[in-house]
Amino acid sequence: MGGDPDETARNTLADMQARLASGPYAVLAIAPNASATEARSAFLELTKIYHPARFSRLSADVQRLANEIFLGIKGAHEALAKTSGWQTRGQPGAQPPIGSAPIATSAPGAAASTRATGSIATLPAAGATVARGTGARPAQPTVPVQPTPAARPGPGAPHPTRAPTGQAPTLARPPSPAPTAPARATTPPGPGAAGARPSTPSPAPGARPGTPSPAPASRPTTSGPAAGAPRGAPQTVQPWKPTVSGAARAASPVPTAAATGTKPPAGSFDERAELMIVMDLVRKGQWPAARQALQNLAARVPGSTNYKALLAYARAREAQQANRPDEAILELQRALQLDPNLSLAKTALAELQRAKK
Amino acid sequence: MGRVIGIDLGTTNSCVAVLEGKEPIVIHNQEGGRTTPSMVSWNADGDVVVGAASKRQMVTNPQRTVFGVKRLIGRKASELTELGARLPYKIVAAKNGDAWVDIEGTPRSPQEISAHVLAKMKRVAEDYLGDTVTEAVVTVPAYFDDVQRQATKDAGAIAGLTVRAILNEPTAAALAYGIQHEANQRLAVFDLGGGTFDISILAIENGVFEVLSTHGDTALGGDDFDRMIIDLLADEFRDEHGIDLRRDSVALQRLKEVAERAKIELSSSMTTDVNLPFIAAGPAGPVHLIRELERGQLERAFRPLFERLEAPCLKALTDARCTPQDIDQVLLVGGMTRMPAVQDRAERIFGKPASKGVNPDEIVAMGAAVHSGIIGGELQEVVLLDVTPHHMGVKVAGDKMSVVIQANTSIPTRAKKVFATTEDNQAFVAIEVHQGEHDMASRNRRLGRFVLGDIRSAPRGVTKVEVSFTMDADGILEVTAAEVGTGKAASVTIEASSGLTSDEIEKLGTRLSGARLLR
Repeated sequence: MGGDPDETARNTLADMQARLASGPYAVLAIAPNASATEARSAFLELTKIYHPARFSRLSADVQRLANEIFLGIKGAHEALAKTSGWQTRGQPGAQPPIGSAPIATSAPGAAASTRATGSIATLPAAGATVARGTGARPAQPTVPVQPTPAARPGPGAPHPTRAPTGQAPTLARPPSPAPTAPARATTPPGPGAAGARPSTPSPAPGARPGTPSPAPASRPTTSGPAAGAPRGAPQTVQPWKPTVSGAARAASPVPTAAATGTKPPAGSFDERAELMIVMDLVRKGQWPAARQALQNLAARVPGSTNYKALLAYARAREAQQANRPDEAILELQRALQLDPNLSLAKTALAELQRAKK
Repeated sequence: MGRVIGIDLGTTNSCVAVLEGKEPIVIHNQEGGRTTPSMVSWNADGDVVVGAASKRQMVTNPQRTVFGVKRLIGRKASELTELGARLPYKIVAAKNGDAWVDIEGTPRSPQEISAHVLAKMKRVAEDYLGDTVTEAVVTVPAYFDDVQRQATKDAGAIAGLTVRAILNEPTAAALAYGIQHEANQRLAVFDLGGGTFDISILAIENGVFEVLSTHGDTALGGDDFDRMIIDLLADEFRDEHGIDLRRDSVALQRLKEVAERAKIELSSSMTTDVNLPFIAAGPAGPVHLIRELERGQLERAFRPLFERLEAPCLKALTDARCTPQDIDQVLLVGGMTRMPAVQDRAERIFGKPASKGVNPDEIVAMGAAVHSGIIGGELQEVVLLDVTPHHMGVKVAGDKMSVVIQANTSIPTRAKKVFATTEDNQAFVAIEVHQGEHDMASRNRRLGRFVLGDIRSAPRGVTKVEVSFTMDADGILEVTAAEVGTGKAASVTIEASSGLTSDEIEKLGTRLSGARLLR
């Protein structure tokens, strides 16, 4: 390159900067009806020119600019992939390069790199002791003394273990997040349900903040935790996307997503926290406690047939444990009436009936 | 601008390569070797000996000869007590707790010791090129964290090298392999070196090398296999003669040598002889250690180590959303993959024969040279998209790690997350950045901390702060925190510190270039 290499690089980068303002198709220089393959190869060609490594011998500000520009190119490719339902290769969820079928049909995390992840979590109160405005800054990172509501999955306080997820392609087995999402209940809550990956890039929970359903409003946000629901934060639980819907904010034109995201979470966390407890009890086979907790949950979200179905299932297992198989079968049949897809109940019923014969 | 060289700074051996045209060429050292032992010793006068010469006098000068310093770099002394107990040289804690090496009362940082090796590689390249070299690409295990990476960079600075990129070793191997085999394909790079194990899954597509996932074990390598052999021999000897050879640093050094040799020999033959005359002094005069070792016997002893190879591979496959069938080629890298039982393991995990066409000792340096061509512009048709190997997150209430950037995210990347206050009228929030996979933030590597102050007074949970992580292609992280609604913001570039200040690095650089080198 002739002349000042910094200057040459700045010009190259400025051209792309202008294209970045004109949207993803302009960035990738492809037609609006371009295929995934065309977009992908356009992205790869741009990567060869604009990857920050190409600028790493230049001045710090050029390197910085190069980084921003490349983030923009990556974001453009990911945004297109997302709206068109394509795979982006770099992240999990990719197609193998040679001919074979895609392994995963989707990866909610495919665009994780540029997507805003909007979970609400609690930060340590920068020294809870000085938090009341003295302004004195703690020299040492103190493990914050937590007021109980924040440390426990109580209402109104986002639980620190659950809040911070949000960007992973959650392989976790999320138990039903919202009573209005019946599909969820088909996911067996037991371990080993990792196959229950959401099958579209925007799983049900992500849609919540954007489309406020009546359910969150009906959820109590201030009442105490369910009586009799044992406290114990199941450590292993990694919930689905919590709230603010970063995905929607980054890639979708719904302007209200961020705004709505700040409100409902308090309620939804609460319910989810309860459900986490239930699921943990279910996993541990503590049926009476699970039944009790589910009773509370079902009472609080009266519209939900899923909780009722789960409740029946828990009753059935309790009965089974108490050696009342007939009652158990009845309850399981009830559970399946309420939610024909509750595979847990199906399996249990089949087992019981087999045992009876 | 001068040439950028590629250096594989290994636990046991190092290697340097440059790009000639579009071909990476490994450079012979002054002694004629294509690799150089990563060993540094100081003699009684304080003169420095590096490489093969250092290795030769290791037996006579064990306390002042440092090998395997890569296992120490960027780590705390408290993390290494077990390792330290088995080393003939002494690990001491620096002021900040970092693991340093005590050489006859002079504490020396691993950065300085590594710098001697890097300086040697620099001289090797300069002799070959007939020109001064000031820039390098240096490789590290993919699973190194930011502190270890920064420490490696600092070692380069001490050696008089600007490190243009810290490249992951398996990625480097894939680059070197891929430019010779241009087809689009999926690679699994199985890299078992002297001190670390890495597994990376890559897709090569139209010249773009895209890392899909990486996993590893920074404490599993050839040294551990050597140690197994040492223990086997020393235990037997103790049972027979009542003397623990591990307590005598000279005997331990001789054992180490013989163990490494036996391990290597048993990769090609079924039996080998161990012959250590006069290894110890018993009550009835000198005692010798003479016996035969069989491959099968060692393989049985190694089984627990073999087991540890599997989990990282499976995790890497899962993160790449791959099954073994999706892998087109398994690339074996690192001297340890010469061991037939290790090859068997790799082939069993991936269900296909591994590629034997590459030189496992040299391919990483060759890849570093390829990357120097990507940086320097000689290779326009190739580029690399790597990932960050560890979670990056913020410490939240209850010492929980709230992950902002997931491990195996393609970099550069940006991610944001909103946090809420936990106290009524909280005046400020502390953003403490951690790296690692543990749920508890304090169990992960702490990279830095800053405070966003004077936030709105409000009941807890009302005030929200958006934290944004931007990681550049070199893995350097910039963190911004802004209060939602007011836009009040604070920002900081989180650069992991290797524990040395720039002043100290400069002083060490002067000390190093002033040290008298013995051949």
